[in-house]
Amino acid sequence: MCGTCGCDLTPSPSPSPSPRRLSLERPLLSRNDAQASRNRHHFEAHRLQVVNLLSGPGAGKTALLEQLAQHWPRGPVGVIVGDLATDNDARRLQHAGARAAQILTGDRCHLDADLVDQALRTLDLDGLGLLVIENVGNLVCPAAFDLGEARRVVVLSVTEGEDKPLKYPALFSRADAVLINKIDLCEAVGFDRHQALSHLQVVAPQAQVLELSARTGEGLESWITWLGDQANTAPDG
Amino acid sequence: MHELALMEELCDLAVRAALDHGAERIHRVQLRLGDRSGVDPRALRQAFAVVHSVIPWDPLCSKPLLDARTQLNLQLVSGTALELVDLEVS
Repeated sequence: MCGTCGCDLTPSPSPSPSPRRLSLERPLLSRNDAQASRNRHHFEAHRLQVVNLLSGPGAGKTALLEQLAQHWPRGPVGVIVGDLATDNDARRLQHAGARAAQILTGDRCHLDADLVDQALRTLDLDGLGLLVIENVGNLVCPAAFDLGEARRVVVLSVTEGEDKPLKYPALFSRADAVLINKIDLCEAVGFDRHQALSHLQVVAPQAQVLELSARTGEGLESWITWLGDQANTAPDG
Repeated sequence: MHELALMEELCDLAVRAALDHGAERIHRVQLRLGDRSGVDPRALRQAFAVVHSVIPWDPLCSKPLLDARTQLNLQLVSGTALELVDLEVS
């Protein structure tokens, strides 16, 4: 007891122990990766082919998915669509015949595996063979987050310029396919197609490159064929 | 600004590991960061400052395990690495 107010005296601090090192070697996204792994098992159990579709804002992801929903030959297409605000895209996709669930991310600039898990609970997977996760329009942030997908597809539109792959290599370097969209505007906007292809060859040599237009339907068939081929191979193949 | 989400994850991992080992302070956090990880080192440092200022308290003992004095060291490597390498604690 102290003599002034009767409180307990603060014990004198014990000498600080000397610093020591704790080795952890843990992925920073281990919690997301664990949920992504659960998502992947869930998709495999439902024999569901899942694609993570990424691009900057306005590259035409939703327009491509509207076309896909109308032309995919193997039954309905499911879409989980992430945006900061509004459910406009989900309504557009439902109108095109897709089973669509909207994720509103608020201020979050990317989807993570947990958000996808929550959206899955609102989507009827029965009879679905293909599910596309339309990520938030952003060429930077979504790159690091595994959602449990089997394939990553990045959309580059000709209006963005041919140097986007060089400027955003993290996203392009992990793509299984790159769709060059709005190819019908190629000449009008002075898009140097050969330069774009050579940049993609540097940054994403593993990616299948497809040129198409969601507006005219040009090249859409090649994307549908590519997706069909992926469904016939093992998810990790 | 996904660096903020990453730093929340980092602080969570670091504080839990420190508590599991009976530590009372985290002096230094070391991260391995790949040049294709999609993470900007400068944005990561800014996010670290934001995050440790909003979650500085260990809920069990009410002492700041992580605060403005905690150093963030970045090992810059090639590739996609994004890993918590080690902590210096006492």
